[in-house]
Amino acid sequence: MILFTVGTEQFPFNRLMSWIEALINRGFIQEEVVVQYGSSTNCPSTVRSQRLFPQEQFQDLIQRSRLIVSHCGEGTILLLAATQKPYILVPRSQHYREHVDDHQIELATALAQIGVPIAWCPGDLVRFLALPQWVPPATVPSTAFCQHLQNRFG
Amino acid sequence: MISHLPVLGVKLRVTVLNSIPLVQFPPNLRVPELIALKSTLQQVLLLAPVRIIFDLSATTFIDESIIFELGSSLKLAQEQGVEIVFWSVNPQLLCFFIMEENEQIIFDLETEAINPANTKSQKSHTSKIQSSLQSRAKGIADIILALLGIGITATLFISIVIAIVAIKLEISSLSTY
Repeated sequence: MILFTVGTEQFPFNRLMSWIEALINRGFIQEEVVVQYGSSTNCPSTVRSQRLFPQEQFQDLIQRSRLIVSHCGEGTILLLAATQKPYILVPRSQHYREHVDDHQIELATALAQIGVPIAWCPGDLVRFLALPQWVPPATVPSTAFCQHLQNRFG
Repeated sequence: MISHLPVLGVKLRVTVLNSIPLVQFPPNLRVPELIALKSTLQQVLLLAPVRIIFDLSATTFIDESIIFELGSSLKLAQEQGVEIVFWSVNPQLLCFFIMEENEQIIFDLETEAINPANTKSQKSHTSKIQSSLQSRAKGIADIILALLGIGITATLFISIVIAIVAIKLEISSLSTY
């Protein structure tokens, strides 16, 4: 079973919903799919979907899933990092009105540098499905983190 | 199954999932890349797939001179009963394909991709435009020079009007005589 989750943002994430539909229609996904669609308005009709899941049910879905596809929300990332399930992140984009700005893209870019799987296109999802991987949470020394922030923001 | 098939130093990433191949187009499609693509296509066709998905999320340039060859290769695949589907084609390339009237290709339009490099470049481009507006000295200089320009134009305009009126009066007085 593959779990897709888009968090509780007020913005729809219809682009990811379209990707799910494309992957199913073109035969790349032939197993059970569960979608937590949040504020999205174009959820695929052939999958089990719900706007929000209660916490316990969501944890149970994570445990039962073979792999997880999630938006690049900070809360969800922390939740997924604590599991040992392979997951891939899909950042929301301001250009497609999926969020107020591109902070998820910036976060995804930084996470990609430490090996976290990121899907910039549905092709990336297919490549991940063919070879799913679990990336353990990275530990960053505090001094290195402070230096990074200083370099980034001055 | 994922593999990289190097041809002429060009590596094309091929992923096969549930017997459906996904072939990643290179960022630039010129003659060497086309040769690699044709070779890859031949090998992928040996799998006898129902369809082949081409991922153009990373592609930003296609050499016009090879588009006919590309179309011919894809047509050969179609003649074997294989569906050809393009994913994540950026709008500029999509217009290009539409103009070339590639009817044999199916475009899954709802597969838009994100290029994080473009997002950064758009931001830096915006900041270049805004930096001049942020400069107060430049803004003041712009205002002063604009007023100077209007003053010069007004002075010249009045002089020209006076000259035209004077000439017309002289002409009319000469005609009276």
